[in-house]
Amino acid sequence: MRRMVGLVLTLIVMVGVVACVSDATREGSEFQRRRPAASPPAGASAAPAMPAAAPAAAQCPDAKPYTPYRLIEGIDRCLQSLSASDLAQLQDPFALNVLQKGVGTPQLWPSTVEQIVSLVAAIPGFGSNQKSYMIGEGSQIPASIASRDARRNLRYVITWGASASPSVFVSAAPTGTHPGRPVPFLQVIGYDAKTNVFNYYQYIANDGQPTRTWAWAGDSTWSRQPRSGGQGCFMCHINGALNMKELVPPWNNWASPRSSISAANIPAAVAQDPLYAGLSGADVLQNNVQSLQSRYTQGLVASSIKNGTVDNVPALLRRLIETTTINFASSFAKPVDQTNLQVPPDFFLFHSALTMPQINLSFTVPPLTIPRATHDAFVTRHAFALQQLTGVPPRVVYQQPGTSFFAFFVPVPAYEDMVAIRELINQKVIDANFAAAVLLVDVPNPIFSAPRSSLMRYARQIETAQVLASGSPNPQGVPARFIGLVSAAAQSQPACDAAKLSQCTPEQQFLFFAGQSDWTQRARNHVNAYVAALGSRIATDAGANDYLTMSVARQAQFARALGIGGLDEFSLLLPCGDLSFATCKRMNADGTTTDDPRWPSACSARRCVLAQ
Amino acid sequence: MPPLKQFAPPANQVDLTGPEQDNLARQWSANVNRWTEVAILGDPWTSLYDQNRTVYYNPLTTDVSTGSISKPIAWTAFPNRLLLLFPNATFLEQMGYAEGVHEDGTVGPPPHVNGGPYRPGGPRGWQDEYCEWISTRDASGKITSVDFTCENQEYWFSLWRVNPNRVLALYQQLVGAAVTIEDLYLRDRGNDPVIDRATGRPAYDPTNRWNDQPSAEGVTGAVHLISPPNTLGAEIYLAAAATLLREKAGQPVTDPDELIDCSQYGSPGRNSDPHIGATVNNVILGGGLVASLQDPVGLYIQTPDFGGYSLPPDPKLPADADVSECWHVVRGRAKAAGDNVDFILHARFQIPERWKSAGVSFTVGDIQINGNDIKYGAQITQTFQIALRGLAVPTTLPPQKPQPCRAPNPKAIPVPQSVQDMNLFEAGTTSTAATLVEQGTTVGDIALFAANATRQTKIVFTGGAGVTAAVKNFQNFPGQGQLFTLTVTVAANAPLGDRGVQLTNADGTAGPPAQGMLSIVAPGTLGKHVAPAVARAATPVAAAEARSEAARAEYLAAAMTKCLAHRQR
Repeated sequence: MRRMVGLVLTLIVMVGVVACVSDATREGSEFQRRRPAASPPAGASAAPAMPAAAPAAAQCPDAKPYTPYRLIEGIDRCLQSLSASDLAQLQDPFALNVLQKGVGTPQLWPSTVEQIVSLVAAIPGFGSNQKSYMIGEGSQIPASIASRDARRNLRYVITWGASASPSVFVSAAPTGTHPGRPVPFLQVIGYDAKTNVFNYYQYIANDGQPTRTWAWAGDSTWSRQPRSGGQGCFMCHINGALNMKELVPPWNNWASPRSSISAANIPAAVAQDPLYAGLSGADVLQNNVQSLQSRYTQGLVASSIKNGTVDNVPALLRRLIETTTINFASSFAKPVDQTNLQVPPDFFLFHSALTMPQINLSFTVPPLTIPRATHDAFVTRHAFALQQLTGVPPRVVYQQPGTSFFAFFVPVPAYEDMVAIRELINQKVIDANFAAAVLLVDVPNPIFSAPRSSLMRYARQIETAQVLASGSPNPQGVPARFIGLVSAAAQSQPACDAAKLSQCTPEQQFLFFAGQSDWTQRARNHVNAYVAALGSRIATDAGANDYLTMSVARQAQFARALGIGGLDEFSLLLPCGDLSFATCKRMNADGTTTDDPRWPSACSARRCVLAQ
Repeated sequence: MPPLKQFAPPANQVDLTGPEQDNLARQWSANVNRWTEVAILGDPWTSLYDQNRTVYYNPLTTDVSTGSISKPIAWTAFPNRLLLLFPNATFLEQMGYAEGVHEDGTVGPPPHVNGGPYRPGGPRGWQDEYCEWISTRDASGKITSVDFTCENQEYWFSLWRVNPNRVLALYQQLVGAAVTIEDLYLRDRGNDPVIDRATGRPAYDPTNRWNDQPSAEGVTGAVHLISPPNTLGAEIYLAAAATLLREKAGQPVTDPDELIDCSQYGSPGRNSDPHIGATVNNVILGGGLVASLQDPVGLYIQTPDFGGYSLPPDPKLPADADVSECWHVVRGRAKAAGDNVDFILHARFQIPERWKSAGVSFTVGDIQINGNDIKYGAQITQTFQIALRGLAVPTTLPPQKPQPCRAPNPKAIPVPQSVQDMNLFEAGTTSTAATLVEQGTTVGDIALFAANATRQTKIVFTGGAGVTAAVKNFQNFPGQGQLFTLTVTVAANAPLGDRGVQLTNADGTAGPPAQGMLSIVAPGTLGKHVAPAVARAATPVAAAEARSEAARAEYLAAAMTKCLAHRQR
């Protein structure tokens, strides 16, 4: 595979964003591809650069049926033939058992969900480990609002493996949502455990051409290439691994132990589908995804270490310093109950990373609860609604007053970034103190923190380093070299008052913790003061409303974030409303929120479209 | 297939041989049949809109030969309510709460919630997802093995009644050789063994010292489920309750937690109950099907997803070693061809002998899950599910009309809660087995625990002639219920089989009989064994104190609380 990747890079001279066949296609009409449309907000230093969009593609020839192709977004303009030897290098179970055996044979070249199920379930040991899941951004909207047959963005995820750990993943619309028509999209991920990469496949045609066939869309390594990163499948699989953005309970739009997708709200044909009848809950998939994200990241970090030397340090540290991607979290409060909103702690700080066993800090976090009445009044006051939109300009297909099914649905630091931090510590690239010192810079803003992201300038100066020896500092290790660089830079900065740490420069904040023997106590003091302020402020009506406003700003910030906003695939993911502000918001160490001048005019709630 | 002749034991487990196994299988089937009938009847006494759940069928009386659909229902074994109630705790704190072994070095239940003790109470009460476990640690505190069980305690009551020595042997296998038969006896206030009239031997204590929550005192084990909500009867009752379609303000109720609130089954916030209920309800909502739990009815541990596990480097580790080798199925079995679930009843996670023989020096605590050392067995429970199976079959019944939410019955209808020998009831047994009486005998000191009854309430055993009851004593426990002490007489020609109990108040108010409270057996069936001489426990309650009336009343109140916690409704 590596040889092939090299060959591709050498041979491909025509570059362009030809086809975005990510999950984004689901929002549009059949087979159409959406191009990344976001433009960078001014001063958005936190986000990685996105390659410039290429001009519209010229006509590509029709594909040969039952023939494998390659289409790596950002690299390939048209479907490129995948030779037999190239195909033979794909070693995941889907390639081995379906594609390699099915070339030229219609009955072995799947074009429907059911055919894929039939072929993959026939792989020895796979059938008994089949599981199906369902997600739909409109899945909780009752039939009284939108008919059973209305578009709810329903799709299955179906998994198989030789054990309870899956290695083949299918994402597709249920056949019952498109009766008599071809499947709108069909995507497969195959995990190759030997090389620790995910291969991405799509059933696709060249633009404007009729013949759809299977195309390899790249593997995990392509997520890190400048041209293909953030393109196509890697718009969503940003770091190359599995992506489940609603990864943790209560899984806002998934069928799960917390919320079922009712047969009363979906097309009758779907309700009768064996895959629907056999649905598993998102809790099972969460475990699968977390396991494979961990395994993949362990391998990724390990592959960067040879003979005690760490390569690719900037890329590795980016997972600690920047927001490479996000997950969504929420309260457990539903429209049907009257419970108060327990705000997930990762909204306020990267709690799950700072308290993970490798760092092992603990804080005295007070209840972070917003009264239900305050929330409901906020939603009403700002006319929030969920709208299913279609077309350009968009028009309303249906809408439901209110906000997400589970209230306070917000982007939070990604589990996969936490895993990367954990592995950097486990594999002695960094230590707990270093990780904590970075995370504690601008700690009230766990995602999209420009001050913390500014530390990447020091990471970029360390291309290689040595792993840390147990029990003694290594001057050639990442922490010592990074601290050295930051210390040098900080010398020219005006002194600041450590008692007002949040007003200090990012360098000074970092150095307040990094390399300090009492860093754990300093960290506890700093964070405990912050969370105590949160506890006091959230108990007030003004404070609770500030945090509700902040949640909307974070949603919008996510949707507009370069490299991440591709995850905002459906109009029903986030509510629209009339809340607008001049700039994004940031959280302060005293529990207040203020404008974030680095994100001007970027964080208003999406305006609702007037229903006709 | 035609109706079942008999319910099979969980996972088709065979723990005995010959006639003893046949006897056990009969007892077990009778248990499941009883729970099923109780579940179908629902609650016609204290509730409105929660009875005659005819869309839940009894496989012993229903032909399921055509068109049946097997539906596994699985949920993560980690107790989800801990995540809900302690969202701001650290990962290890949450794991410690689930384990009952805390980061601060203490052991016991999770912290108080809203100023009160964590509920459900009782040993391992918080492990309320139908999976309980105990970790074994070495002198340094590092985990060396973890035992997981999803076995229901009623099976063990039945097994004990047939052959207590087999129970002892299993304890010695599952926990250790130090277990003695006396350790397993149910004991009274004076710490004397409670004799089960049905066998003439000491009764079984499911929460004995070898099947307990972690403590500072010493070793214990996880032999079968003991958390109060983790009963199989409750699971059947829940599944049947979920077959009733609900509506509120003209809209169908389908949300898992809203269904729980509306139908009042199970507990919200768990992974299990809301998911089971909503899944069953959704099957029925689709129309044209009736549902039941699939034989063998049971709760089953599923094989973990080992994808996130990693082994520490060890030069002695065999090259082909796989972490899945640490997973040992101790009771039940993994799925075979054609199965849609694993039928694992008890599993142990420990280093395999093959690795030890090769000289491997690490232990379970050195293995990582998702990059974290296994510090708590709870981490393993996040990687597997517990499953049961439903079986839906086509029906010609007319479409079910959704009902309003379950509501309290404004009429105070007397309801029987349990019928047990008084000594068992007083000792707080959690067995739900029917009380056995031989033909042609009279048995005194039978406890009938009821609600909405008075001293004048008339008690009738139904389902066959020849059984009469005389009230010897009546006690009212405000807020809990009423306790009758009965003398039950069974005529020599009374038909064999189960009897219900119907209560009628003096004003004529009566509900239907509660099923399966008493069972008439042939002469010579019971009490064949002579109770062995047994030693008292080391710290007996002072006899005078234990036998005072005040102490007894307190004891009875506690027994009622325990009974209510374990009852199915």
